[in-house]
Amino acid sequence: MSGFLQFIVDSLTAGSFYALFALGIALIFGIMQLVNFAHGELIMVGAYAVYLLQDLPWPLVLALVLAIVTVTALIMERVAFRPIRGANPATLLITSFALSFLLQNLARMFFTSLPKSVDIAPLLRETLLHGSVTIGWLNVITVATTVVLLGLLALFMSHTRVGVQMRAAAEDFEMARLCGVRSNRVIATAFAISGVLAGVGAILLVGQTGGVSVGIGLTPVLFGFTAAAVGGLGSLPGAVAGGFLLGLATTFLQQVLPFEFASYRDAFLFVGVFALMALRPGGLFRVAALTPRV
Amino acid sequence: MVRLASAVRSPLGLCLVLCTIVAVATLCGASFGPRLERSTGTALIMLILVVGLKVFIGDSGIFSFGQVAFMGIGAYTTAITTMSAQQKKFQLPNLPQTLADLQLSGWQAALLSGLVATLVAGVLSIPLVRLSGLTASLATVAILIAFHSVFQNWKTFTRGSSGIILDSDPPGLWVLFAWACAAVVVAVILRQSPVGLRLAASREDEIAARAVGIRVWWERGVAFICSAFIVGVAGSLFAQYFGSLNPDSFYLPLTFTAIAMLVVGGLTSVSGAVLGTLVISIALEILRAFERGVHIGSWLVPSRPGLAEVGLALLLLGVLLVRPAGLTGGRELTSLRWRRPARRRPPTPPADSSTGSEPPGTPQDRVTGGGASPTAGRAAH
Repeated sequence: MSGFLQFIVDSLTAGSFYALFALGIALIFGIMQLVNFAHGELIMVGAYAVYLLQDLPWPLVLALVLAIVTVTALIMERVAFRPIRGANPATLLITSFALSFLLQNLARMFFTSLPKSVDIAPLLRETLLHGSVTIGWLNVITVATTVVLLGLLALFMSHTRVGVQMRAAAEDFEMARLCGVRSNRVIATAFAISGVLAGVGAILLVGQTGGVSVGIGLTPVLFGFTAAAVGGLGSLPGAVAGGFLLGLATTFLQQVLPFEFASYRDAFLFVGVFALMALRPGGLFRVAALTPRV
Repeated sequence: MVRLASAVRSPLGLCLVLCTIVAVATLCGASFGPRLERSTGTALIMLILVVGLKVFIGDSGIFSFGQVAFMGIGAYTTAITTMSAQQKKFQLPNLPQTLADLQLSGWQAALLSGLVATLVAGVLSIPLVRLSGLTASLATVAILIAFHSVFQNWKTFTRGSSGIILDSDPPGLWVLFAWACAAVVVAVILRQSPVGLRLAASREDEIAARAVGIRVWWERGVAFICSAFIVGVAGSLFAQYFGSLNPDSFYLPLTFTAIAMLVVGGLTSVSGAVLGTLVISIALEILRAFERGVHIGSWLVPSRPGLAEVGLALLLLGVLLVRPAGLTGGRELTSLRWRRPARRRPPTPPADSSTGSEPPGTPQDRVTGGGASPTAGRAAH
């Protein structure tokens, strides 16, 4: 029983991380068909911001980090993605790949490739519940933050003007524009939200790993991608479902695989993802707007 | 004159032109000291990789991030089959007896590496060719990650992240050059073959291609497998030339560099692959000199690790923003029109067609729709 409970806790925590990362990617993909590889570097920027600001009081750290990451996301959109908006998805993907490589190596130039240790809040390392089930404050905070953010995002998408416009743009960008939706505003808002999600993700990630390095964004972005693709690229509920499914799958594999195969976890995971994509190319939640019309 | 022009435009002419360019570049590189010779070797191996990428990515229009995994497979195959028996006992003690006794020569190992990569690609291509567009790209990312994980953990064959050191002699530059030319020739032949033309048609418009009876999955599969063979050979030469390998050699940084070379040159032509590799290799060589720190007059530029990669990324971004179809615009060098074509072609052929140059409708033009390469298709927002 307690083993099962621990399993649930672990997969919820991992799933929350993946859902946060996947949402940031799916949000932008839905509107402009851009798979944003550079989302990982937004997380990296957030993580280095935490590292630089860690001596300030934590509410200030929180606010500043979110602001920095959001501004970075907006700059990214303005400088790199706006000029090629509407190009074919492969070109957009390569552009974001190049941007990701650029930011990563800029960080390497300034911070070197040695990892830095960060200790934001000692609270995150404490366990809440001992005994048969271990629950840390980090687990609670991660899951709670994700749930709150998901709720806020759902409210935003359904109850605000810009949110509704964003959904319209994801459905049919041209039509939305003809109805008076400003494409620049909608896309900038999407990037701002994805920046906030990346910032929160970065803080939680740094809290979990206790360190920052140049490659910190890589694993999150790969898992975020995969989660978004599994859920159905462009679908927000799909991204969340994909994230939690991936969390479940990783935790499950970790428990089930015998010791000598444990290090192959990612290989098994991605072979599974590959198989799922081959069997159901549109993902679990297929987005009707993205299937080509003949 | 007309005969000469059309001879240059034939596939054979294209092969000759491209191989001459590679030969001149190799000669230049080989005659300026050992460090530049080393970079030339690297560039030749990269050229084989990029040409291999072009065979699949350029002709099918599907971005594959997974080809570098086949390079890894080729490299490890070569490492296992060319190492001497004592070294194997020391580095890979748990190899099966048949492999432990095997010792092949350089070119045998290269061919075997290509074949092994082909086999693996053949299995993977069965599900992969059914996918299109971004889903296919993301599936290849999954391939790359899965193989990286296998290279890191399958210690019996790969020695994990400690890596393998080879004890055989590295091949000379001219051996690499010969392989590079072979790759170029294969790529040109594939592009001109019926399969290649049908594949290019499916890249331009998959639905229309299916409508005229192209199976698409078959053409994609053939290209994927051929690409894997070429990339596998590149991996084998990588192992032989550098003499050491570890799982991280075949991951995202190499994928990025190779794709940057292909995109900068122009995805859809072999000339693009050759020129892109040449331009980026030279740019990287210059940037690496700065990265190590140089004296300009009395002013010392301090060493900055990461600078070369930043430069490479900026170069790629610049090309994507300014000239998304790449330097060659996705055309072959021999069918470039040196003057800008008029927007609307006059009904009668232009006057200069009688004085030597071909009418502007080479087979490539027709298939690519006059330069509408996948990267050039922009919608106006």
